[in-house]
Amino acid sequence: MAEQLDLAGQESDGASDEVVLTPAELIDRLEQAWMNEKFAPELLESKSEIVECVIEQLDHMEENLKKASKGDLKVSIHRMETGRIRYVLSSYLRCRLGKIEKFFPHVLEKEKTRSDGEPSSLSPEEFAFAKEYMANTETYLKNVALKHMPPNLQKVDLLRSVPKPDLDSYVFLRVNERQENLLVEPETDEQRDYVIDLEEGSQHLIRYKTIAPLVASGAVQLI
Amino acid sequence: MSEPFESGWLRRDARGRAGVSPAKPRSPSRPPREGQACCQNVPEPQGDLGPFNPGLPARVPLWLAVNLKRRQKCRLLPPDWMDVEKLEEMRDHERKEETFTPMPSPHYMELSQLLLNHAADNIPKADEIRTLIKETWDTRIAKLRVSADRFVRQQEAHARLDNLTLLEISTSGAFLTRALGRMYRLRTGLQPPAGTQSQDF
Repeated sequence: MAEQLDLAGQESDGASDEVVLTPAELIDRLEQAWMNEKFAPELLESKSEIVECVIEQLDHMEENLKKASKGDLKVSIHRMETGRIRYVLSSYLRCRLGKIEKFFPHVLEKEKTRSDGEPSSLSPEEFAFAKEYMANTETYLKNVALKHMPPNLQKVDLLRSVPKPDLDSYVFLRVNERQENLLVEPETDEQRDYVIDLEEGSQHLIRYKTIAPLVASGAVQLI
Repeated sequence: MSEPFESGWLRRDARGRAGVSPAKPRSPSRPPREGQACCQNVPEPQGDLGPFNPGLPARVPLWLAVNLKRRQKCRLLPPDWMDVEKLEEMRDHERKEETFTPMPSPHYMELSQLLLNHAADNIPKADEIRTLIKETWDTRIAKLRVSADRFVRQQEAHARLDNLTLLEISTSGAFLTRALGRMYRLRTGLQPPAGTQSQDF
């Protein structure tokens, strides 16, 4: 047990935010990232350090499991636990890939216009995937249809023809840190803008655009 | 939903299960591993479990409790609130109030479903409890429908939903958010972004 905790410590030291996490906190973070990603309409910032830590930890546990004697109660419990964590992890990654496939031109455009200091919303692997997906789509469209078109119709602007993430969609959220004076835009023109306070622990239904920065900072959790 | 469930109480039962599992409890005979002293704690990423001693209750995550129960290795102790009197009170309170009342557990429905399905023999008056929880649930879902309807009619842009549990939100959440998104688009007169309908690559 001690060994595992040390390992998690080392991993987090190596990560960019330099916070030492216990395995339980690590899993919590993964679950938060997972739920946010599931419910947010757009692709969120990549949490690659969490993903790497979890993968390393899972590999380590599975390595240990191979060595352990069969039929031990411990082994079956561990196996279940790793299975559960692996499910969350792959669901998280799959959800991100799904969004990349859906919004690839916009994701790549955002990546292109991103300034150096800003954190990337794609991990290196996801970036490679998005680029390849874009190239393949373009080739496919060209081979199947475009090259048979008259020359003036042979171009398709993917940025305009692929739907953008709908930031106006509604989300449910729970508040982790109290927020004051959040401006809510009205639904119709007759209504006026108004401000609300988000109290810690309260739950809300609101348009994603209003609270998108709070999701990124971790002040609210999508549910 | 995805949060680690609140633990159920778990008790190893050495006597009752003699026919199924070895009468001698297994934990103490586990070999020490990797230089550890013979320690009965099972290290887990989500926190250590155990020690498992026959007859003594231990707190474990729900998934483990259910798994051990299915393998007939333990007896489950239901949470304090899973009690006919308390649940009756809860149901009446819920019926009286206009708003959602706080639930004894953020996963009351999931917990009671799992415990009642897998360990009904360990819960006194399981059937009554099942009915009470179902009644509370129905009341709450009815309230949720009414308030969703009001939300849509009044064209609100924000709603507060305290004390609503995750499962309750997910029963109608996806539908509600999509419907609201569509209506918002219709109202603001925005055309759906070109290609939404036809070009899904």
